[in-house]
Amino acid sequence: MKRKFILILLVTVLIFSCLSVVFAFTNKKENGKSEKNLELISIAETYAAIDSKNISKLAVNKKEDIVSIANTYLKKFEYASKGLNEKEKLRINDNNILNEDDEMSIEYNYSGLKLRNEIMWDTNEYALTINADTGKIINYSKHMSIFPKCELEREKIEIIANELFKNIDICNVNEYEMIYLEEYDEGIWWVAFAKKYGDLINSGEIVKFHFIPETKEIWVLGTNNIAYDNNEVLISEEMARNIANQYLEKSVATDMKISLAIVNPNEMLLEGNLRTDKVHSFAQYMRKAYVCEFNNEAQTQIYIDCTTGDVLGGTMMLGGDF
Amino acid sequence: MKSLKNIILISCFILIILTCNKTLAATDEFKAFISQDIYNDYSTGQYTAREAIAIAERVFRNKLNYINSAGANSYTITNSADTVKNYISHLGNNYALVTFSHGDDGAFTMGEKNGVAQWIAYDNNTISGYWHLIFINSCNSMKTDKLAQAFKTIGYSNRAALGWYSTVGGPALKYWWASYEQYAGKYSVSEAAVKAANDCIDTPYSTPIRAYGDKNNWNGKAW
Repeated sequence: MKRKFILILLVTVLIFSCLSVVFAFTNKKENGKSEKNLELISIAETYAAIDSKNISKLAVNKKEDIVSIANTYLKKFEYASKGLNEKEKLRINDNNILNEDDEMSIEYNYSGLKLRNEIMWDTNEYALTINADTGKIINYSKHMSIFPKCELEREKIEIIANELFKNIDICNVNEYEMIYLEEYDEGIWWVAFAKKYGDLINSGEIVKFHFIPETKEIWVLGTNNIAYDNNEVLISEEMARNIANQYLEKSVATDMKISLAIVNPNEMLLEGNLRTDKVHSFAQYMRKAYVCEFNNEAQTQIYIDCTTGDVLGGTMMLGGDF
Repeated sequence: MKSLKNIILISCFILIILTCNKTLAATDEFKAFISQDIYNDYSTGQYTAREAIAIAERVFRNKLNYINSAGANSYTITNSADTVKNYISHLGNNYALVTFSHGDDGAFTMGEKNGVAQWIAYDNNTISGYWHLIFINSCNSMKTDKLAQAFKTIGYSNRAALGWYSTVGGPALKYWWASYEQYAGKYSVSEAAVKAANDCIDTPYSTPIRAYGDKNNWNGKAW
């Protein structure tokens, strides 16, 4: 009887163990005719952590200074949301949101043009990142899960967006211009302000945020501060057209329109059969360029540096033909 | 009495094994797909889609803890919508999906058959099952909630759908995915997505990300 029991027990354990392994580790196979799986090209990690002891090497080199800067930003967001007057601001000015014991992380971001040291705080309420070298804000978010439905008209929402941008006071608002205002969902809107240079705008110097019009709160904000090189126009539009023509010949497009704009040099056209020797990969600054936009469905754009004639990359809609 | 003791013992063992079984077996699986035309057009703006899918695969696997049913570091390049349809209709732990292709409101396509695009659309009976996390990287894919509804990600806890509510293109797509990698799984689905959007440098295309479903409470991680 005892042997029988042990036998039953062992068989049961064996069956369920086998089932566990089968369920857990079986890869489902498919028979797609044109399917092939490809090993990915290794891409460097976006972030590399720096030992927190290296904080002393950063330009903003005192922890209390850094915490003070962070508190200033967090208070600005509180003021912006509540629309406090100067007297009210002074009254709550001493109440710090972060203190020196709050955990912060320091990282070096070398993705794309953004070569910088960053200091981050992530509490139960907020996430804040500042540039460790300049003390400028990089991004902010308030962890929220409930958003009241927006019943306001677009004109009123635009006024709120401008007020919030002014109240957070992180740049000279007179130098910036609203470049878009869009509905994200029924309770949240998205707005972007970029720096003006005469008739041009620099999308490298930009403040973007998602906000809740009904409560006038900023939910998530991000900034970029990539300076504009202010390069001279030394080549003519006709010369730019000639350079862009070599790409137009390989495109499904038949014509192009050309305009001047401040662009972010990028990797497009660096690889493959469209590569030329005069293509930039990355630059430290935003550059003024002729933007040659093709008349194809993908709205392909080629950037030609208006000082050097170099190709600075371009852009095109996802999925369209070049 | 002895027999009752035996039954209790066996029951306890079965219960333990069943619990282990569930723990081990329940992890969601995902698969990543990119349409052949985008993948092959490496010399132009589409190169960013090739790099973006590499990051997306990493995000789903490392940050959101899904198992890649095609194997780690792999994705599927296809010119056949049937390949994706097969995965969608497949029974098992396939609860997550990420795609890069042409698209429109409520639909996306992986290729053409005799010159006609083969659409996977909310209204053509090609989408089935209850999905946990889907991400359709196509222009206008999330302009409305049609795809999110079709994948049954709306009205349930711990389910969400992501995509673009307008046109997206060129380097912006890669920049967004590179930023999203920092935030995925750390914050709610929606907060992580818009944080990445606000970090990006706008090209003529911004990064109009939109989420549906349990987007403000759930972090998108595999069950």
